[in-house]
Amino acid sequence: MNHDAPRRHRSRDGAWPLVFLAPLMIGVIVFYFWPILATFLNSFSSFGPFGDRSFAGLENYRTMLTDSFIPRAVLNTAVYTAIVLLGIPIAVGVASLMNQKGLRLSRFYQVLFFLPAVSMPVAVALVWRMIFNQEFGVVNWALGLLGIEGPYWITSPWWALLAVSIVGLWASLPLAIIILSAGLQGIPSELYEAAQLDGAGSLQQFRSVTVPLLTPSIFFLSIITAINGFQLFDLLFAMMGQANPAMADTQSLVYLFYSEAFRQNDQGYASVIALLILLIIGVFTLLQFRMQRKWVHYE
Amino acid sequence: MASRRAFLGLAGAVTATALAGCAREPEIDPAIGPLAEPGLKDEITFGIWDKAQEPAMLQIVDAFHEHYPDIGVTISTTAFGPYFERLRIQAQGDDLPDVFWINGPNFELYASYGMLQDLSELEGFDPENYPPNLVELYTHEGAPYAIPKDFDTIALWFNRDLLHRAGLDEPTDSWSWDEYREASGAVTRALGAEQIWGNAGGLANQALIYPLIMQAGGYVISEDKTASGYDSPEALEAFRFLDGMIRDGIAPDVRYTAENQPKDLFNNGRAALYPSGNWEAALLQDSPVRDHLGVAPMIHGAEEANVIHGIGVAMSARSRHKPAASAFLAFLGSEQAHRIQAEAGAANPAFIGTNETYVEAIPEFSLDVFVDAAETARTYPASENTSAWLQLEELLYPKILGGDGQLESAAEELATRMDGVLADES
Repeated sequence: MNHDAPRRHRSRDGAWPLVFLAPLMIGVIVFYFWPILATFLNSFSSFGPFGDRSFAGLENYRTMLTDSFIPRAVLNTAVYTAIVLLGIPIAVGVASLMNQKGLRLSRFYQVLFFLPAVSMPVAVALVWRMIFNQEFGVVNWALGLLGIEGPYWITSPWWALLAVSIVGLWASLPLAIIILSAGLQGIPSELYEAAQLDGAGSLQQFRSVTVPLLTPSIFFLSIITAINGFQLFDLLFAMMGQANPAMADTQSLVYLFYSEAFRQNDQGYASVIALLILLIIGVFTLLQFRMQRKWVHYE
Repeated sequence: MASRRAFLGLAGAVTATALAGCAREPEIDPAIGPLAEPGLKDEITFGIWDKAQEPAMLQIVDAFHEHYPDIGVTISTTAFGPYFERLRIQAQGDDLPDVFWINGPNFELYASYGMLQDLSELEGFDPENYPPNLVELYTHEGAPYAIPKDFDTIALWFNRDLLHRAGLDEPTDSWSWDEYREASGAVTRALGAEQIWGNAGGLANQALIYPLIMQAGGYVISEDKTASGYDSPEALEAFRFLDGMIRDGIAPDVRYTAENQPKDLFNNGRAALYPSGNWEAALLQDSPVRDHLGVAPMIHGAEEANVIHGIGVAMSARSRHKPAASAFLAFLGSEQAHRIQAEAGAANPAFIGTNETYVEAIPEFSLDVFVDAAETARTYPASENTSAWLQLEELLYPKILGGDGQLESAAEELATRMDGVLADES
């Protein structure tokens, strides 16, 4: 009887669990699992421009091994992601300052820091393009006041990546500050009172109470930010513009994917690049989950 | 287990449907058939990409209605950027417009995949009516698959005020490379302090780099379309000519022109010389310095060479309205339609003998220079997958002329990658 009990329990539920899961699962299958599977199958295909395809074996993978754009794109994407991740400590600082008790104008600061998130990315990119203009840009004007002749930000290889990364970092701050603010408000005030009784100054409190208790939020942010970083495309595309001499050296992986799929009409090879992006994100996220045991404190 | 099996079954079903969706069996009646009878009642679609030419196209449709009052023509305008991405999706979905614009870089792709109607038998269409180098652009395996609509060639736009201030006379005939370089140098030396350049520099392919390579005696793509010419001594000579002017400070460098487009430099009176096409006329008509602008024949090197390109109008091979589409297409190719677009100043018509109308429509400039150039101009270089190597040009031209010693290696890389694209085509 014991043996039979769970089975009968299940049959009584009938198909209901499936029915309730279906709306979500169908979406996940159709829009996530199926494209991943299709991409995997496509990576072994050679495509014609109008969707006709033939089996190509490992040819697309071989192409990738000899493509000189790939290593540079991996490096560019990694550098961009690393720089954008630096936004998290900055956001921790800003969020802590903004959440001080009795801070005047705190609403105003919240709006100010959230504005980038509600602005249109391409419009933002075009404004930054002007800010970084070599001749007329604000950045080089400011550098000029210090007696430094500013570089061609948008059109020199490494400078362009740096400029795009700075904008990416700036654009990642709003979400980080919101999430960290929520995290900060979840820290019980008794902990601060106890720390004060123990004679901890505000810096000491920040280090020993605030940061450790924020680590779950920080961990979540580092996962999200890294994944977004590896998917760098629209910002790069809009900021670099046409006929840019730095473009060949500033391509990201997703940019390469775009040009293979939509400009070169080579959807098979584009699928291999998409899989590479998926693999890098997967491995990096897995590593982060492994490492979190060492530094993330769950109460 | 039941649930997992159900999901697998679902996934399988999705796969099967998707695969079935891919395998469609085309039914094409290759014959174009006769033109529609004047009383035919039908609806066709017409795809174009230039909003500025829409009024002229509407006028043409109105004139068409005098012959075929009951054939409705719906014009669908898509911006040039996404036009060909959209067209490719429409072709995949068997949903091409009945009649649509096509250009040189994309023609071969659509023609070789059977997307375009063979127009050899189209009543009222005679290829003799258009410049032969333009007809050649729209010929696939010996048969015409699109009718030339208009054309552009390249000439030397100049700002006579800036030339005079540098003590130079304006060009009246074709300048040699050396004369072009000297004039550019003189202007830059005289007016450089005012941030005025001798020439506008830049990396335009059709308007600058293609003609220069041809003038050096080279080619962009070999005649059999199997090899890139970018690593040839002639191409390198053309690149070195441009590179030399940048190095000597006569022309703006590529980083400068990436931030300040050559078109804008010339249009705003900050460059004295600007090799470009007749398509600039529409913009330069309204230039703040329009009173000083003029146009002279294109410069020449060891050879004289110009590049001709024009839009073509094609019919979908799978159109379900071939009689009506044929009637409209034949009208688009007629002298009357070409005169209408010329009068509107919309484009330089391809129909031989109608150019005067266009030249007179924009009397500010002596645009006949562009018409004269058509006679000897070479066909715009293209292959089946032109858009693939156009992107390589975009990516690597700036490295070739970047001034950091990569001229030869970047030209080599462009040639190798382009050869790879061409090898995949065959």
